[in-house]
Amino acid sequence: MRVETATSKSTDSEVRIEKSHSQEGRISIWFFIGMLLLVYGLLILGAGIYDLFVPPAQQPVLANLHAGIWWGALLVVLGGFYTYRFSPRKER
Amino acid sequence: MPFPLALWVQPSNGQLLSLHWVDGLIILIYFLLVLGIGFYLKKFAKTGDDFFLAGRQMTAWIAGLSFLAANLGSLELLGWAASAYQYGILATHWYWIGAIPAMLFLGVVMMPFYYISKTHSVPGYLKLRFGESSRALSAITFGVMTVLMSGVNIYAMALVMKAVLGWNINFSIWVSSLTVAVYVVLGGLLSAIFNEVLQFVLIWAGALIVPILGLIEAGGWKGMTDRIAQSFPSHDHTHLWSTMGGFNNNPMGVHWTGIVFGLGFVISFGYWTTDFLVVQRVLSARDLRSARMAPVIGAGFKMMVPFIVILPGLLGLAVLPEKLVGESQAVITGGHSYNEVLPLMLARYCGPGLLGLGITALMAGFMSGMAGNVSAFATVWTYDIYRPLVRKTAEDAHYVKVGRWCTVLGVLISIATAYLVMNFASIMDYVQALFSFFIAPLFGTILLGMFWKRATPAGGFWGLLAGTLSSIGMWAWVKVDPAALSFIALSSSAKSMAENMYRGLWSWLICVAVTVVVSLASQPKPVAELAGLVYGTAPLPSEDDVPLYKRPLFWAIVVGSVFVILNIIFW
Repeated sequence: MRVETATSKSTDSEVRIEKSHSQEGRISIWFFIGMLLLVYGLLILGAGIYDLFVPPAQQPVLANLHAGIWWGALLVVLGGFYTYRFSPRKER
Repeated sequence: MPFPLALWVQPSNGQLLSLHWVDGLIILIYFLLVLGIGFYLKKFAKTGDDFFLAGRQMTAWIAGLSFLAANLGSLELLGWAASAYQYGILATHWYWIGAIPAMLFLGVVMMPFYYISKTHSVPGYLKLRFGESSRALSAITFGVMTVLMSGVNIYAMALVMKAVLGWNINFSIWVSSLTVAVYVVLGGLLSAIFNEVLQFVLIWAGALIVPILGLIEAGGWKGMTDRIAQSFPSHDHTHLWSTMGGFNNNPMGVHWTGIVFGLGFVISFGYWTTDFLVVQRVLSARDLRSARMAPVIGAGFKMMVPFIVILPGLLGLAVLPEKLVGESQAVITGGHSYNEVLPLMLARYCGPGLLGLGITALMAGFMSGMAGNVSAFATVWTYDIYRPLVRKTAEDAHYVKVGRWCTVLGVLISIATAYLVMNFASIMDYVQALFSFFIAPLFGTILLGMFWKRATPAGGFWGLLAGTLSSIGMWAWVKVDPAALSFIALSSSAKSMAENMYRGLWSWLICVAVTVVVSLASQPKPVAELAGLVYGTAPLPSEDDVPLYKRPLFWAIVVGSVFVILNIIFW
């Protein structure tokens, strides 16, 4: 471990551990999160739309609100945004 | 802080939920992704810093969310939702006064000492400040407790999966543990942090739907509180402080002094500022300012967690047609217990897909908690036990290899503990108690170490030892003679949570008293050796060149103000 310790005139940004460069080129965590939310959103949205036309025998409370559809759509939007914003191609 | 696991000893009968194929697919995708992330990150975990501290490259946001996610295990979600059903909004104290001040204190005051001292771990800081004996005591206790806690968590999670989905206990234990082992062995802390942030987002995506739909059904907050008051007129379930004037005025049997001094000061500060499981995440930050911002960001999100944990429990009180009971009573009557309130609420509102997401959120919580435990275990055993006591000098690659083997070993001991707990359920209670023995005195030792130059190595060691032993002694005293509860917890009607808080407070006071007395009677270290370790021995880095909106102190004041306002609103 190497470190620049605090000196009398050091500023906050100077206090930084010297690092290796082994993390360069790593895909952002937000890209993985975006992908997962996108895929989950599509699955939940699809299941919600299917339930709209073929309602299950046992419906959950407030089934009339079709939570699967709007929650799935929300996840698709969020997931799509993060996938695009942090895609490895765009980052490069 | 960890939810009291003993509440999960008894498995419930019957299966609560059944899954659609879409739900199964959602769970399968999650497992494939976390394993995929582990394999992908292996190439980025080459050096000791990469493996044990994620290359010290994390942004404040990632370190902050990971800091919080390592604590947000599935038992935390299920357990505190159950507590909210049982004790009402009082359970929120564990998220607000029991976390926020301590997290802000870590970020604003303590982080510079941890970060500037270059330490890999909390026991590592004790070595620098008090010497090898304090480090060894702290590291061995922490390592053993962490891995035992991890094992108890696995077993408790397997019980939950059995109760909720009817899954075989062995299947749950092995599949979940091996998945965590694979991704932590491959990518170390980097992989653990990546998955924790992913799991944090999943927990919100999967759990947020319940309070939203619950509030719609109950008719908003007012509708919910009216329904609760109507159904449970004997207790006030919806006020945070107004019932805290006496031990018998609230369902938890606790006085405000226990909440403020025991929980809000000793237990909370002990856990959030000295438990390496959470502090390790902050040490991975890329610079000091990020390391100071991370707990502040974590605190901001922690304040919101009651929305997905406490509120579903309260909504359960308002909308569930049946009255939930304690675990032992549920086993006798065949009814549902408090512990099942969150799965029951999921089943109430979630159709195919959403249910899978909710279950995945619970699993994600479990796995983030376990990954946190084993990665902290690997670091402490490699750097604070193996290196100083077994092999002092070796190549960096050797320690990385040892860290990987420690991870495997940690997971295997965890699995063994899970089976041990299965056969001797009372061990769960002991392990939980052992964990609490150590945290409160450690906070006393670190606090004096950071803020009192006169504290000596002998004082640090004997204070820590005396605090820990006295905590064990108090616990044993109440076990042998239950009447001792009225001395330890100041009331014979105190519940186990209240007992823990007061025991923590006394053991902290004993640790501080012994540290002070022994320090005054022994030789202090020269001030030159304390530079960067103790307040006032070296100037702290200035933030003069940083705009106000980027300063940790500014955001800590913002978060602290919201914390005060929330407590007043729900008074």
